[in-house]
Amino acid sequence: MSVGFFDDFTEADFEGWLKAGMEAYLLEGAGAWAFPGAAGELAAPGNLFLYQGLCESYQQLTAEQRRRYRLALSNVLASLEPLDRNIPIFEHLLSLAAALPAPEILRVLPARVGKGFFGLVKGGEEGDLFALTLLTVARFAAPRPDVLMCLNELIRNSRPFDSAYSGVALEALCRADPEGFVSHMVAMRELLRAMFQEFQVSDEVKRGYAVSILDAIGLQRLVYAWPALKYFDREFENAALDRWLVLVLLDGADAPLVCEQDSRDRLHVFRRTNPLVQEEVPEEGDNFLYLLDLLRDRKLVKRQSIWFTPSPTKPRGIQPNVDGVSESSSVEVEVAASFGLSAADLMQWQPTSSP
Amino acid sequence: MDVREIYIGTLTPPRFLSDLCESPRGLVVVCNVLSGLDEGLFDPHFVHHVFDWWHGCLLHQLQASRGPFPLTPEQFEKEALDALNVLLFAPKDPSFRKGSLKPDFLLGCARKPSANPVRGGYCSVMDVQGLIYHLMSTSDRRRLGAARGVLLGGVPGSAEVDAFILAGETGIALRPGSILGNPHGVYWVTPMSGLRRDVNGATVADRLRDVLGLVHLGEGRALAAIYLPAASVSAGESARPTFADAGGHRRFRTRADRSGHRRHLTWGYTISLSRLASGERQIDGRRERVSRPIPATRVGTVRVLPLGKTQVTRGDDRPGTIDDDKSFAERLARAHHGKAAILERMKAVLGL
Repeated sequence: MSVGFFDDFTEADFEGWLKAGMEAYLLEGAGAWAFPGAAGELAAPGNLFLYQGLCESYQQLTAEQRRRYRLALSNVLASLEPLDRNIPIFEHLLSLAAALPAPEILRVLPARVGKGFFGLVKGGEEGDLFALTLLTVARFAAPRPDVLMCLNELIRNSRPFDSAYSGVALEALCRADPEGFVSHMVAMRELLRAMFQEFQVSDEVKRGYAVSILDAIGLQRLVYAWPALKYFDREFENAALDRWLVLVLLDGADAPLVCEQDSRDRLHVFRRTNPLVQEEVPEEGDNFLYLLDLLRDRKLVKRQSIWFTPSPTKPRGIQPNVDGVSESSSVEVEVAASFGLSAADLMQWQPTSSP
Repeated sequence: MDVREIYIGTLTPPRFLSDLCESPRGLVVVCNVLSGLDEGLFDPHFVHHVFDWWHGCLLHQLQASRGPFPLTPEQFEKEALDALNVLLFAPKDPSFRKGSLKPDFLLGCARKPSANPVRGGYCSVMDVQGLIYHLMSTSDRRRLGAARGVLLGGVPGSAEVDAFILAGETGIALRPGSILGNPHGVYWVTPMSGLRRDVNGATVADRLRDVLGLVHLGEGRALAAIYLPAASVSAGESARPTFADAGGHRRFRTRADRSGHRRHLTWGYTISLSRLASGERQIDGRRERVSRPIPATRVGTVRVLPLGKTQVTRGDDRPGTIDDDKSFAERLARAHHGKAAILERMKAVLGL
């Protein structure tokens, strides 16, 4: 970065610099000189992307300069005229925003989605502006209303929605709005089915999506939602269903979750890596029985061996053995070992009810 | 007259040269100039021409700078090497030397390769992110991304890069209109022969990065090797690289250590970064050439081998390292009998 070039730059100065630079670089072929003050970074060997050079110069700014830079970027995005010639500028601004990162753009994107630019889809090998915007917003996805608004606008306004992005969209929706998990599954159900079929998506990949969703919304919310998902359709044999989510989370050696049934036939689900925290599947709703059928058909329910109740500190219902001399059966020791507990650990605890 | 104007006024060609020789990266460039002259790669007129434009480009750049002036030695080094990169690898700023066309200093080596194509073809190593973004067709990218459940489109994220690596060796159709290499620069290649033995094992990304001297690719970079048929390079112009093709590259060296390597007059040799870091006396890497950027239409489909991610950064300034910029510059300077001798010789070359 040229020494001191940006020292007195205001937000408006950055805005003018970015806009003029993008036009000169992308539309007029001006090359590195389009961005005075950052020309060295843009021309450096190994920097193939415009955003790389701009990022490098951004990194050399002070915190206050960076703040003005990001605001300026969102201002340019907000004010860019929706013309064909400006599509590359819009795309590069989005890429730059994702790279910095500049979540400030989230406040301006909803107004741009569905109006102007998003009717100017670039054809052929140049890619789709909608997809780029979705992915940029997905990178910022966190529980905040502007992200959710952007995502909903994008999904609602795309004509047609490319199913290849449905997994990404679902993950982003769950991160932006964990409470709305069931409605997101409903919204993306058909598109997910189309994606899985078109690309022959493996269980491993589906599991990746499912784990992302689990991480975004948490085990309790996920399990409580299971009875509300769709596992069977009486009318249509080939209807889109949500079975894939439960199956990849429970089935197979790499499955992250375990489902157990206790003596009262209640279903408990816990992470394989943390059996001490369990969530009970609510027995409610029309779909619960279909869920149960699915789990039993696929033999995904194990008989509960040690009863733990959810607790962040120690399992409720289990009392420490006062005299510390009780012995555990060999079966209990074996089961405990499968959860990483030693026989000595078991010696400390005595279940208050037997399986 | 403000401080900037005063400083720029003092930056005469002799001062520019002496300040360059005082900075490690500047000294590397100057040493490579002298080695190039010694090996007959170009004549003094070429050097004069490059330095004239380089000096002018730096002054032009400083005119737009806000200081503070005078520049510290570190700031001067950065400005000077930035100016060299901009001069060599970017279109000319219309306001710089108005009315003049910028000369093409690239592929300026007088020793031209023979017409015989290199057996086995060529290889180039590239950052996976750049490969996906610039070269991969949208359909290939969509197929990879959706089948592997990753983000796709725009600048590739880490998930897409990881998916590319996991997919293993594959053929990719280059995106129509794409170009191998910097459109305003050169494309670096090494012969394929003998390379396969280097592409096995867990640390292949580091080993290939090291043997090709790609010091700008630090730790955590996902790399891929691109295999090119010989005809795709020989169909265009290629040459042994000179200091002008390297620009501000921090680990470029004109003259190989081994006499057997120096007999290959139309080939340059990379620096082996691992040997340099170990303090070895002989640090030759692999043969290398530069070519004009190669359009996708000349190549069509290429084989690509993901190499994984680099684990180590080379050439940084951590205490105790012997492969930093300063040490490398001193190593090159020793071959030319030290800074004072270098400065005197360059003054004579430039007529200063």
